Amino acid sequence: MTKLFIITVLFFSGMLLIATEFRFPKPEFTSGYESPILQQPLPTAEWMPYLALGLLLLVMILTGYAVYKWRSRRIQTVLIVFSLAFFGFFREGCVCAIGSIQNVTAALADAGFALSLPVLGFFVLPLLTALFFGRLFCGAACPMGALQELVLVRPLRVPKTLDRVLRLIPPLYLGAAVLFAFCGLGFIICSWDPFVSLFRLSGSVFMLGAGGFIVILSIFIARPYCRYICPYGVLLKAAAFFSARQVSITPDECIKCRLCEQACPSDVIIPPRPRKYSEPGFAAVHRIQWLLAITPGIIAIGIIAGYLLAKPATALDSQITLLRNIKAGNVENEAVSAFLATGTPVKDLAIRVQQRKYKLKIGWMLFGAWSGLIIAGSLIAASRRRRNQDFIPDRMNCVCCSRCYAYCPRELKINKNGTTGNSPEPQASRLQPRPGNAVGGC
Amino acid sequence: MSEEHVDKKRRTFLRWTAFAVLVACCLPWLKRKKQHDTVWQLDPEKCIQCGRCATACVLIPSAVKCVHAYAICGYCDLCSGYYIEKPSKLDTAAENQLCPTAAIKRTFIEDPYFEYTIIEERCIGCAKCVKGCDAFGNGSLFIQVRHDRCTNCNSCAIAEVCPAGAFKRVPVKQTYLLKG
Repeated sequence: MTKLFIITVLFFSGMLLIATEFRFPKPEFTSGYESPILQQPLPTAEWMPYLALGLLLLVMILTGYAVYKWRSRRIQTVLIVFSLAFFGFFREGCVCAIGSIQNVTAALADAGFALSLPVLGFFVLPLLTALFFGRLFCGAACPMGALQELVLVRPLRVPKTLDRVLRLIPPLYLGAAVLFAFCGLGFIICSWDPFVSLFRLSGSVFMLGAGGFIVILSIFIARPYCRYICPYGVLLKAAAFFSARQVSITPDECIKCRLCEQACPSDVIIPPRPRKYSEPGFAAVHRIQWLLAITPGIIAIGIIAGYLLAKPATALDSQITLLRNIKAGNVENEAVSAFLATGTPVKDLAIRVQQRKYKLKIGWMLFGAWSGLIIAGSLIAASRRRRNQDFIPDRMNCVCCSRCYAYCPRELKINKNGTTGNSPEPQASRLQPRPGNAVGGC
Repeated sequence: MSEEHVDKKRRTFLRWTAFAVLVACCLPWLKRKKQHDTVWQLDPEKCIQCGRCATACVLIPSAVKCVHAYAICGYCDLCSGYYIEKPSKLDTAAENQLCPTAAIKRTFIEDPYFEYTIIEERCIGCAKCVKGCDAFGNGSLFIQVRHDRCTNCNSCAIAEVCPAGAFKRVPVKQTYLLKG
């Protein structure tokens, strides 16, 4: 009996539900009309990201051959043009290795975040390549790098001090991007990417302007984005530090002619160590000891700065702002009315906000510590003495553009004898050799 | 052993350690349940028809367009998704239509029923009709990300500004969040 009652109640409540949901029930047509079926077009090419992943690997392998075996800038230029056309303008930039940092971080933070194979591949493959063969990804496979590489016509040198300071930006940007992705504040690398709007030929005026500015800047300064902004470059740098192979400017021996010193547009060729430094050895050791001693202090300052920054930065979080607006009785706010319409109790939101605030505070303090570490690390790195005997590219910062080959007289000599690749004749460089870097004895 | 040789050996060791760490970090991914490909979609139940879909998308016109769930449509003569609030006459004249681009086609079926079809090429995803239909009708008009157009940006520009938090990533196998 009770069962029957429940069923009846359920039936009527179901009827009621339908009645309230549809004010105008679907008519029963007498003319034999049948309503059309809703079209649900599928994504145009699901396999496209997999193809892109395969091509990424292929381009990196070919770049490896072009840089290390054929020593040919010409072949590399072909690869660069291909990458720009395919990964840039055809694929419209997404998903790229730089942005994939955030997907990986978000997947680490939230087990419910789906991380697809192409995204993981785009993140891992360039790093693995860099671990063994240096930054071949930067050399030709990255569409952003490719665009800057192709427009570079008149490279100018960035003053060494300014260069050092600007090189602090990428690790800080990486830290911020990881913090934002980890705390669910959005993907800042993607939202502030200056190139993607150029690839799509659409976007906000500001981002298009920023993209245009960087492209114009890269006519005079080699790869400004790669050197002073790119957060993925930081990871590649770390991987390239261990690389088995690195660009060797000369095919056989270095005759220390200093011609290559002016060849590198990114200014990463390290001259050999001088016979005699201007200051005694112990002074340098003392300086490094001092820097090591104050490193914890710098990190502590960073943590405090992060702690102080965490509170005003909560304005960036949509849920915290939402709760704030609800408490302020800001009903005209669209987000507030949308939230109230869902009928979720404000208490639930308050609990979530409390957790987020805690997470954000920890996140900002970690970001502060990271910033301190980066600044201290760069100071120590600046005080290190070089040990190399020949002119070699800095393996961490070299982006494998293979421009320097054509400047080496040894290379030219071998080329004339016809034993290696087809490097073009060097053009007269407009760069002036750096004054303070004279090799001892010269 | 020379200094260079030691340096080389150390580097080799570190390299393989780093390699092992990187590969080991990828292993948990294989165990994850959610490793499928995803696309952006918006939940029509959460949508508040604010109109940002029409303006925030990186595509012009937007990849978000209106769709029609015929199964729950009332086929009304006075369709509140098609007509402005007080239409002078129930005809197809532009001044009476709600849609700014005349993207809804009104077809006579039988007295007194009319069918409303979305002309997708014209739709800009402003959701004005959705608002109208939701307010006075059955809510059979709603907006969806159309995947023949969506470029599947890593960070959806509309999702960033959606005040209702209606955008989310859904598995490719279940691309649309439909009504009715």
